[in-house]
Amino acid sequence: METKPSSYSTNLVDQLVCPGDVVLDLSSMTNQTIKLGGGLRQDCDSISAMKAGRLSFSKPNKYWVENSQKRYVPHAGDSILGIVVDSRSDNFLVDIKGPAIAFLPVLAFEGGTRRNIPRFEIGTLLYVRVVKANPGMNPELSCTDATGKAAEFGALKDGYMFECTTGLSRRLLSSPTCPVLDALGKKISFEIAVGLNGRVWVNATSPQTTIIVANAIMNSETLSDAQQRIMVEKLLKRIQ
Amino acid sequence: MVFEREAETTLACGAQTSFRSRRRRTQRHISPSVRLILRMEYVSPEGLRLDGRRPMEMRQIRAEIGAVSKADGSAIFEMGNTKVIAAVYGPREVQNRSQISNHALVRCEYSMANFSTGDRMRKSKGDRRSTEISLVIRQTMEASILTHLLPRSQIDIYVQVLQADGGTRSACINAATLALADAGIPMRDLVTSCSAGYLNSTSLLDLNYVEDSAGGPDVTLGILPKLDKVTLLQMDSKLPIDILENVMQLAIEGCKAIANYIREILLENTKQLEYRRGV
Amino acid sequence: MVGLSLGEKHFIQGGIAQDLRCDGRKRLAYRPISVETGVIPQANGSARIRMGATDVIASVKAELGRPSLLLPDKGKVSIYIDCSSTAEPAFEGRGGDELAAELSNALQHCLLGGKSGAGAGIDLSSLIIVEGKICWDLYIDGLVVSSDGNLLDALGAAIKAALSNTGIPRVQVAAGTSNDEQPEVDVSDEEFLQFDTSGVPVIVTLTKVGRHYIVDATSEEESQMSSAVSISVNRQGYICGITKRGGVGLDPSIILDMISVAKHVSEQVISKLDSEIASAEAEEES
Repeated sequence: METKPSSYSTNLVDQLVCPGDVVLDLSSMTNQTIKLGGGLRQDCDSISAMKAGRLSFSKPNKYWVENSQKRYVPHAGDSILGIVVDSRSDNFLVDIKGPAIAFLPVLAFEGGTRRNIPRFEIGTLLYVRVVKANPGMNPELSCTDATGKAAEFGALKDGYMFECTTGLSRRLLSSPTCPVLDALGKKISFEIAVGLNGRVWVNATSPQTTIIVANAIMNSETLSDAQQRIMVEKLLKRIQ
Repeated sequence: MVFEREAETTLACGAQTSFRSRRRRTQRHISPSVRLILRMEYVSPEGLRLDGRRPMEMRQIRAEIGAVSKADGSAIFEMGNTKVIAAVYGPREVQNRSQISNHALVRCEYSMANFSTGDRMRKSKGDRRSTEISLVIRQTMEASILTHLLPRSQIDIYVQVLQADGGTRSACINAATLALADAGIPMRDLVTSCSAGYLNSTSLLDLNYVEDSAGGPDVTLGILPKLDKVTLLQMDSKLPIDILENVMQLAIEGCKAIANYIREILLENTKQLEYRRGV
Repeated sequence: MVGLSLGEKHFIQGGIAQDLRCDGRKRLAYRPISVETGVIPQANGSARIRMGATDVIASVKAELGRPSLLLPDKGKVSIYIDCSSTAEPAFEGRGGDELAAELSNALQHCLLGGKSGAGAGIDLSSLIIVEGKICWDLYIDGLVVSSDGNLLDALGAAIKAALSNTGIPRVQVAAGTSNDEQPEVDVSDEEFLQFDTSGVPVIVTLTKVGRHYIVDATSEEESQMSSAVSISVNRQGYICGITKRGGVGLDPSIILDMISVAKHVSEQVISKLDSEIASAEAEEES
């Protein structure tokens, strides 16, 4: 079936919406099969927003509200940064800045067996993947990619972690490369791990570079592309 | 609207006091003798209220998102001289394990700063009045939050009154709405609240402290503006039904006006966050 | 806040050792201070201070009272601090009381001097109206709205700004009352006397992390501190009060060193604060 949103629905695409705004009316649409993303809910024939943000649409039929917030709502498949808060016999308990503590099974590592359980101190920062995020139970994490390889997942040693909004971390991960990272990467070398839950870890050879990168990213939240590049240049000048 | 007036007590005393209280002037330092006279005259013959407003006029409102940077969502809301801060923490892990359920647990705490009232007094947290208001705010916000989407989590709403000049309940609810929206908590609709009263045979919108303490009826109303539903209704004192309808209608109008303002503020805030996208 | 990982702890401590902190500051640099005065119109004076994510409000209310029998020629000042639960969910209910009491006490030490009122930063004898009969009672209330470390310095600065924003009504005492009666007074609505704040000290807290000490620590840095010393210094460079917090002991020679550093830093803070207060007052007038 050819997807053709009715004229009513296209009106609000790319517009800012508030909680309670009716964004779509199913009864007036030719194709009633649509996919709803975050921030939208269905009430009989009307689709309304439940978060403030920009209504986005992607072909053929996906709608969602692009918003930015400080707390994270887990979704399966997201790569995030978690902090170990406790360990049990079969799970590590990990804080993921979300509504509930997440479980990381002690066997969810590459080649994990009962014999080689890793030891993580409380406070260890981990780069992990969300495997299950079902309502009504704690989210489950894994330190392997879908094929069971360790990939980049695991504990992050040294470096510095700071928190930002989920919107900013999504932007840092978007392609083409976010201007602030692009501008920084041309001049200095550093390691970065961005979690979709609004946590960013940075490491570089000198603490000075780490701090420059961290502050540049934090400042970039409300700046436009061109402003980001100027800000990065200003910061870099100060260390030279 | 008919401006009927009862007993002719034409003492225009203080009718034109400018609505913005001057600095270093406590509005409430009205000596008992003056208050006695004022009791009869809340609307002047010209149809002006004590602070110079018209009966259906609201005080100046102002809101700001993101006042407490550590919180997950926060806002300041001002209605004239009433000023409150709301901060939202959550959705986060439930602190008390026995309270875990498959709905989000919404909690609210209301507190007043020592300097918030005209006469300074040391207030203890958790007195009956603040417990009652906490409950009212919690129930009103719960009606709008989609709690079933956030099972096993907890949302804390803290409201702090910096200045009280009547209508703190409404101001707190409005601030809490903004803070919840800032925190990105899924909501059915924005909740807005406004009060209205009836003095000198006139319906008055958005009572200030002096009008509030006159002893007349005071209707506090909270609505979901888009869904057009009333979520909070409180009234003390007695009032004929047809007048109540009138006063309620006025309060609803007030709520809608506030809803428009809150919407604007929220969109402006989203726009600022999205500025970088160049759209 | 969730705990810091081992790597981050090393990073914070290592950065401080290299004179470079997580927000790019040097060890003895304050965050930018923003001052707003007259935020509470119902009070005689008020101010809001923001330093990074730390946000506090102070208000001053003046009420007529009787001087205490022991000090008939002095007014009374009391300081109360309240930690709002908006700043931290842990402050809910009675959770903030302990910190509030600690801050109130430290501020009283630093600003009010001893029991006799000697060495007080606030001139208590200027509050007297009729000796032994009437004086002004100043109630200073602080509220912590948002906390990201260094609350004491911020509150001290807010109180200083609020006091310089304070106008105390001029009082006329009715003449000819006999000695035993309480004299009648007429409080002016129009005329206000500006409060003299030149002697009010600023508080500089030095937080010791590792071998070095820093000023204006954020809560991340405070979590790594071994001990902290708060020193209040007035414009003349006199020390008005010292409070030490934190469990680890300090060498007396280090304390003396810290005091001289604090004295040096306080000069910058005072001039910074003065200019901020002046511009805030100018903005309010316009």
